[in-house]
Amino acid sequence: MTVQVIADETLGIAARGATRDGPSWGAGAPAISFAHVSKTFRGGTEAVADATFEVAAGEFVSIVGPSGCGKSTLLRLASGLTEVTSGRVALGEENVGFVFQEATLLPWRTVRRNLELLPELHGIGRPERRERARSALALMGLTGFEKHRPRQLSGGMRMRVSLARSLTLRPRIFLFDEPFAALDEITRHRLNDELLRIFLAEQFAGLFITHSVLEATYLSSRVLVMSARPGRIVAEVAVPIGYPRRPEQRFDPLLIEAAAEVSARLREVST
Amino acid sequence: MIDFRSESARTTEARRAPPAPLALAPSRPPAGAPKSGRLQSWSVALARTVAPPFVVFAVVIGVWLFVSYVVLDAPRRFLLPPPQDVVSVGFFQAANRDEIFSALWSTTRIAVVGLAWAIALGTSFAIMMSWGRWVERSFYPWAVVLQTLPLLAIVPVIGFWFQYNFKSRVIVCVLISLFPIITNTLFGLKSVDQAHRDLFKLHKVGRFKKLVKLEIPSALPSIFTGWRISAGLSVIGAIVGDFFFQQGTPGIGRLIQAYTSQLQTDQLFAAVIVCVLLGLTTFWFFGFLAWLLVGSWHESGQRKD
Repeated sequence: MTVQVIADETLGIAARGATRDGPSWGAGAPAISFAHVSKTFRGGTEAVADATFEVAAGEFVSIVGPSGCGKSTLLRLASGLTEVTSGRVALGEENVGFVFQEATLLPWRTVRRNLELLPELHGIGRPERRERARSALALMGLTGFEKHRPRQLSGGMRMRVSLARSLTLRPRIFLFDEPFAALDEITRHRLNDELLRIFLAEQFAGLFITHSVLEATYLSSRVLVMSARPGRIVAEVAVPIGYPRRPEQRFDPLLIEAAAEVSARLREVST
Repeated sequence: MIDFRSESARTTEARRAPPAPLALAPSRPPAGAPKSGRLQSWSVALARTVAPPFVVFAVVIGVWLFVSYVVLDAPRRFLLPPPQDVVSVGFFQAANRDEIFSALWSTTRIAVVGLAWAIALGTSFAIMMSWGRWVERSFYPWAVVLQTLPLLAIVPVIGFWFQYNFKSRVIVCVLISLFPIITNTLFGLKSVDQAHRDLFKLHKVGRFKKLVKLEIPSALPSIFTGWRISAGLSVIGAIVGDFFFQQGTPGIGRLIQAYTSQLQTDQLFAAVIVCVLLGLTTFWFFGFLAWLLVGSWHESGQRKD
């Protein structure tokens, strides 16, 4: 059973795993579904046109597209930060995590206090908050950095804290807005591997926006290709490798083949 | 000279070397002696901080003495009495000292109470303006009007309306120091990072919680800038109010006027020095407060090496 939620009220994040209309998290229900979604901004800019796709529960899907094609808008529509102009966005779960392009940590809070922020905003008591912060810290390999301020950390470390912060609410759906775009390649690879590890452990549904074809194919089971503005979903490429994936599988011929396919599709739509 | 030997060779030598003298000896202590090295760099840093204002102070005193003794002859020396006379008459004669300091205390109380009101009112206004654009549109022009009011003209009117007491003096302080608090606080509240706003919006955080957990902390550096500017203005307001009212408990403004009309320039300069010290103290206090609360995370609090 799918709970159809109008886009502007998609994101009531309740405490762990709570749902609005009873057990909507049934087998086969899509975690994210877009039906003919379009977004035209007030100035007349058409950012997204007729986007239709689904992400199943526990599936990891990436969207790639030329820069400025409306990928980020798509994610904002999914999260409810931006309202759709027409069409319908439905999320199968209310507990949604969002990882921004920047780490968006509060500079006046230490790492530990930053990790406590989301539980705090949802009114979760202090002992429980502490516990969640601690386990997220351990999960992301941040132990020992509790008392650091964001400005004392490198970009990669900040992004780790940002991921850990989202994990404190144990979301069932995770939206990623080019989270690793600003990082160097080595750091990005490491964080990709950690993300996959967490994905396997938490079994959330992931929608990942990126402009890196290799990152998209390495992380996901399907890659959606978006055209230049107004963004349409023009192709879907399946990645024929299962999970868990090992770092050396970045160079697996099957994966490279999928990446080449995505690249070719991108070239078609970028011109 | 560059030491090409290995690290261990150097440290062995340093260990064998006699302990470096603690005083700032002209010869450099042996390389690798950490304790005295740190002490020296610390004292150098201190000297760098303290020396320039001290030198400027000495120059000012020198110019002052020069004008008193060389430019002015004895009959006209009262125009700028030498510093030692100012100190001995103003601060070491009990009657003068008590007069100056009790006036200072009265002025300080007025300035502090006025500033506290200005902070409370200004911050509330700024918060309301940040919540609704129509509030900002309707009230901000009046805040600007407040700033452009000729204070000298309005002070006597305030006296007519509210009597010449503590309350009206505080009102003068509030009028003069309100605007910087409103503008700086509003600026800070509106400059919150958009991504942070998105984060709070995603989690459907209420207006009040958002204010406490996001907007105020993020605005603190600007808020403190406003406080710092207004603290100085509030002191000026207290002195100006006192100067014009000529009634009620005498403050430092009235004392200055009395000394001027009686040509008691020793006391006059002592009173001016005290005013300056009051201004400096408030300035330092708010600088310290800002450093204490935002220095650990904001760019302005970081040392640049």
